[in-house]
Amino acid sequence: MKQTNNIEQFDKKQSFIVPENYFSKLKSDIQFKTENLESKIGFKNYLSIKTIVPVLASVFLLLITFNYVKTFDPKSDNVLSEEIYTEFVEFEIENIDEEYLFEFLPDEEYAFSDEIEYLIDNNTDYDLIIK
Amino acid sequence: MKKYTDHDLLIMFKSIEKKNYAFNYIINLYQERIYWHIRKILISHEDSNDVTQNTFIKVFENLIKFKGESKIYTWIYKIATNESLSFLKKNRKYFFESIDNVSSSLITNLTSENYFDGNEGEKKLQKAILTLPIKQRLTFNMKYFDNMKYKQISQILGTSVGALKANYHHAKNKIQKYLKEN
Repeated sequence: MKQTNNIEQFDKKQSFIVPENYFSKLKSDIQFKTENLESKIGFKNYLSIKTIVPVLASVFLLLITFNYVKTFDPKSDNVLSEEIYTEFVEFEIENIDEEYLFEFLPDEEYAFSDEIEYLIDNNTDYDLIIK
Repeated sequence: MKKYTDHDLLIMFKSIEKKNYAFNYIINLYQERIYWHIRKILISHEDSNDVTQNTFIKVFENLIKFKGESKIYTWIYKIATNESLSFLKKNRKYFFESIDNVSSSLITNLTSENYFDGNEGEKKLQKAILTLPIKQRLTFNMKYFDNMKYKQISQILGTSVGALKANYHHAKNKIQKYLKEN
């Protein structure tokens, strides 16, 4: 190039150079950084109020449930349920028709009871019945 | 490569599926021009590489908020200029030192720069440019090397067209004076 003092006569070509394949590397470097950035943004979103509130509410509910389970006395409930059951059975036994219960006995047992009745009616020895 | 308008790119960037495609398209389109703009300000390749990457990360973060008041290219140019100036401010020797006084360290960078392919005359021209105050230097680079219009430079630097014309005129005179004297 001709040495000149007039800038308009300078060749406007780029005097700086870059390493080989620099621009394709630059592109992938930028892409890599923005991908990382997106995952960071995703993590930041997890920390937003919209997420924190339901998470805190869930934790609060879990704590209440945990506290309830920890302080729960299973005996008191069992005693209560046993009492209710006994009362119910007693009531049913008092009011139920025996004939109705026979319906639920297997045929053999029912037959067996017929035998016993027959033996009792005919003054059979009780020891013999038991055997 | 298919051509997209700024409007198309902005719409694509807002959609989750096409966001990366739009951004890669923008990188392909502008990375070289933006790099060279930054390189002329910072001189060093390594510094320019860092600042170019930061510029595009800023673009990625903020493009969703871009309202299309200017061209995407002008907007990216503005980010690149601001990032470069911030870099120069951060790398000043003294906290209160003016950004215009960093020219000596930039001239040192230019002489030690491995990636400079120009002859002595071109090196002298670069040195002359580096002696200019920063605004004149930016105006001169954008007008002289990038053939940008004053209106576009005005949008990037936030300076009136008249002031830019004056900047360019003074810059040209100073450079010619430097070339004569050195």
